[in-house]
Amino acid sequence: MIDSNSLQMCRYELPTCLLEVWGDRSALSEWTDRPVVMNLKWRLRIAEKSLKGNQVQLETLIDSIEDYVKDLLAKDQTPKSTHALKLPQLTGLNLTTLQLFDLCTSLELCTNEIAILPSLELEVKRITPAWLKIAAVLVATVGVTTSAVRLISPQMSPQLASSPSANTSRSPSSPANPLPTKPKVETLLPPATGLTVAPLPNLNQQSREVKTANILRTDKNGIPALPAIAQTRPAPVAIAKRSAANQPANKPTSKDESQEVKIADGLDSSSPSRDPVSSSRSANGQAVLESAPAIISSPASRQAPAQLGRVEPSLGASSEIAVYARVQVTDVKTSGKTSIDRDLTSSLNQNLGALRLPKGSKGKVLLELVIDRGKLKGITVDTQSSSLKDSDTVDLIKRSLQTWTPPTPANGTIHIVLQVSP
Amino acid sequence: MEELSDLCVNTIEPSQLSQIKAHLDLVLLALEALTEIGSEAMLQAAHDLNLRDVLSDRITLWRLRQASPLRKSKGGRKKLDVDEARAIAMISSHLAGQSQLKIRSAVAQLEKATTEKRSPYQEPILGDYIDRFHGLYQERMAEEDRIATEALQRLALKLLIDLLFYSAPNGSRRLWIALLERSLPHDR
Repeated sequence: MIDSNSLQMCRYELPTCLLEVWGDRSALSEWTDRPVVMNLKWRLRIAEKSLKGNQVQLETLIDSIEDYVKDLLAKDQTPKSTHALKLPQLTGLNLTTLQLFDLCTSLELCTNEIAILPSLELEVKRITPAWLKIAAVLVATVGVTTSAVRLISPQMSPQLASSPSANTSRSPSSPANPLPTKPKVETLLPPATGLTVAPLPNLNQQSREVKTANILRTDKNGIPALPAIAQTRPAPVAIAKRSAANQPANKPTSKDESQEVKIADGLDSSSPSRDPVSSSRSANGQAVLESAPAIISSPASRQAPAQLGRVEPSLGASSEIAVYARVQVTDVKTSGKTSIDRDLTSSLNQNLGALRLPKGSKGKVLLELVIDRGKLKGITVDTQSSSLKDSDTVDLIKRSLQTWTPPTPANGTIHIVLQVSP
Repeated sequence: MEELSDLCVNTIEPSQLSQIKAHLDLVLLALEALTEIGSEAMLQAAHDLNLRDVLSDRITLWRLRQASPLRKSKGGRKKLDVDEARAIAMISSHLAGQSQLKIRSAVAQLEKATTEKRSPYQEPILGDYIDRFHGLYQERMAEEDRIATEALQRLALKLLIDLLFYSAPNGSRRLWIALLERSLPHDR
């Protein structure tokens, strides 16, 4: 079962129309009388037509219908039998009076029941420094293109192509959920991607600079096509634009592979070339890998180059760069009084950054962490919703988390979604 | 009352209020013609909506209804203030909500008759409704404000469609906005 916080689905069925609305439940819901929903999507079936869209389109739909009905009621005109509605960005509708009424009522019921959170996207963009945006996008792109784009494009393309939302444009960073029965879960992930970006500011300035520099170098050397994707990422994209963006996504993949091979070569060769390689790998994986726990482990691995050398040639053959599967926190939901999710996420990522999971593990792990007076009291794995079923791998994650201390003393339950990517 | 009080009503001119009264009376007339609700139901609705202090008994109700400028009788006319108009608007949509099924089937019949190019009179619910609307209108409204039968039928059907929208959960708000819009000079 999916955590009730993560998905809000409303269905309004009236005699002549069916409206379905779903999205993420915002943490702000705790403060409001109605659940606050963000990243909203909707589908409407009326007059033998099917319409769908995102939040902005729902708002224009509501406005158009409201204006039309207001006019209809306020003016003394001879009753019309059909109502031709022009809807911006959507196909127009020809409705009978009853259909118009049902549509109007379903929209009304919907807005009475849920509060639609205005897009916070702009706000986030404004406070994000430019370097962080570049770094974040590259981290996301580099880390994901190898596995995710290849995995996602065939599986998710119908959904990606059909939802012209600004948010879905980021969903490639949530590698394919192998559970085809839950396509909606994908729509939950976009905000989480924002969270994975968050840990960066917590790193010290020096490592940040090094990383940015490395990333930029990588960019110049190997992946000229990537900035194109980077551009489509933060900005709202229209359907056409995105489906166009989907195609070039295959190209970078192949370029990326060549990049991988190059890196793999680097690993085979002598030690001087190892340093840039290892740092680009951490940029590739997750920025957090460079944080404290990782530093402890990496000098050790450098001291034993022979050992590394033995392992990695075999990887080069499979053109796979990562020795281990990576874990990253993609979603954090808190209940009760806890600190800001950003702190939690970065702290969790620090803990998990040191974790080495068997190569090839992938999938999603949903966990519930119970915190009592600043101490972790319990970890429960939502095995049903988790797509990573291997119990040994899940145990490794659990064991790592058991050593985790919440950044601020608090009580409550935290729901986290971890993405394990090979 | 809170539901409607957020709509700016402080700036309503006496002429606007007069428009509002006239239209509200017509909306109630349509509702009466369709559902045969009487003053008892209206008072009950006032009770349900906690509007008893505005609308306490039959006499007040009658006086409020008489406030329409279209009405025949000049005697006993009470000045309708904004609060009372709002109360009547809320009661109207409350009652429309209770009769939504009937309103809906009447509108469905109207749709059917229109597509098949038949006279609405031939539909059972509609025929009765138009007849009764006609009767009540002739009975109550002043001679000089009377309109031709055909125009009256159009008015009845227009009010029927409006009633459907007022019967929705947010119907009273919709009605109130429509009343204000109608009363604005530029819309006339």
